[in-house]
Amino acid sequence: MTGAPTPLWLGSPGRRLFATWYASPSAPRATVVICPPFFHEQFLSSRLFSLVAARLAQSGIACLRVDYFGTGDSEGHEAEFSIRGAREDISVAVAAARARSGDAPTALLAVRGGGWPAWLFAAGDSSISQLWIWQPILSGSAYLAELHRLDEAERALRADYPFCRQLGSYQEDGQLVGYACPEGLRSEIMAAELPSRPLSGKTALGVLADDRVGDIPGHTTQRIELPESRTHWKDTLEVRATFLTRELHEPIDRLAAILGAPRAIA
Amino acid sequence: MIDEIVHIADNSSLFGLLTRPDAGPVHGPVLVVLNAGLIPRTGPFRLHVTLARQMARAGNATFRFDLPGIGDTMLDSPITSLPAVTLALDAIERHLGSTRFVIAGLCRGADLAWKVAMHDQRVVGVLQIDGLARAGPWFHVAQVRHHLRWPPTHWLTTASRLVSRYLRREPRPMEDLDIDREWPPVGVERTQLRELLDRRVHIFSLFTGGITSYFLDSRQFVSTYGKLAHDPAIRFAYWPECDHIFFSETDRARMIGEVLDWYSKAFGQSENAAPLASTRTGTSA
Repeated sequence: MTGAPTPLWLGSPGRRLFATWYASPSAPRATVVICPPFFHEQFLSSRLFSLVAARLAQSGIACLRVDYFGTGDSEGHEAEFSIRGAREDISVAVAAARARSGDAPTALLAVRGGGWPAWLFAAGDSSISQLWIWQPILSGSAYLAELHRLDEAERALRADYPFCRQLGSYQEDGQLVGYACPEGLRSEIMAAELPSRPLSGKTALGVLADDRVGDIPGHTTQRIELPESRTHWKDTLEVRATFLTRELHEPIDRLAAILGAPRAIA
Repeated sequence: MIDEIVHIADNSSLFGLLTRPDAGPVHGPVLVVLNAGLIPRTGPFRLHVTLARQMARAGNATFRFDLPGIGDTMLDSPITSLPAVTLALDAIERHLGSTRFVIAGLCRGADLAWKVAMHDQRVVGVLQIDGLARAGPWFHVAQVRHHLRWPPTHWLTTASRLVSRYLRREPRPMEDLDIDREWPPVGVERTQLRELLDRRVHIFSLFTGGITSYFLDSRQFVSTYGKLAHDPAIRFAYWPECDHIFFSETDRARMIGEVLDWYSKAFGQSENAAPLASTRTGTSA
């Protein structure tokens, strides 16, 4: 079936990762590993990036979506997820994508917090042709503050339901937006940033965002504007905000064109 | 515990994940977990993943997949929801040899679980979370009683919050729970329940405190289903302190524990053990 993903397991026993492969109709012009965001953003954006991958694949860009260890359908408990571990998972996914796509250049499309492990990986692998970050988060501490605001708002919403038990705070249960967030992960996020030092001479950097997100400091980036109306999906737990609407076709088709011409933005 | 990929139908993007014990036979019927509304097969906050893994530790198999138009299943699939579930049961039957299934769903997933049970004789159990219940008089009594208990300050605070939310154009989460539900005409649910009980289908109906648009009093269950609600094959629970999508890990753990207990009591731990098929589906790279 055209555009249908092929599910597969990556990695080794004890750290098996669930992934979906979106083959292109003919030999791919490039291959993209999609690095998902964290916490609630992972399941909220799952459908959107499944459709993004299918559309890219139709344009000749093969895609591999992967769930990090401790997230999605992959092995592991949520409390075992870490940014450093996610970087290793991206490494496994890139190797699997390369094995399936031959000589096509390999790029990363990282979503939100997924930009941090993707950056860590790309910084150590100069063969990554392009790193694109969808709605990048420049500051880990600001992201953490954003998560706490959403978490507190969700907990407060229970007051609208007359019998729902009021929940304590993150400090009491260690849960952030419904997910375990142990101190180690919290510290990693606090320290996370997109460094100003260059990635590598061969890896081009791109950003997909609306005009509220500026460029990544210290870097020359290609930029694709996202419609502002399609970037609020991360702000609530409302899953239907994440569908691939017609407004997103043009940015994704533009991304496919750039990914298919890897030297264009070097 | 093993997670396996099972392809449901040729020429479609339908596939799912079967989670079962490491070795030996699978005990009892296979639990098939449907999407909770539009949420992908992992469930809210990975609820379905955790449930499947704990079921496997207890010796049971669980299958999770995305219905057409949800998660990884493409919309151009010619298959709609009910036939998709039937195909999923066929695929598990081929793969595992099991011929008995329990269908689980939350919200609209609960509605579909009920439909599947009516449609497919292989279904021996239904787990419905926030499924069908008619408002009826008890709902309105509960509404009035609750509002009368509010102190004046609460009225002011609530009014202020609602106005503020309106001005910020924030939707009230899940305010549209009562739309898009696939419920039969009023009264038909009793006939349908009779049919299910005649088939000796076990039913676990759990209601949370997050569906205040239609459920506020445990007596609504009996007023909806009549005397049949007291049948020993039915387990009913009302957890008003719990929200609709199990935001709290404590609530998720409690729910999973309750399901395991129900499963054990309704279907036993070793009855009708199905042999494992010799072939394994799935792809590794």
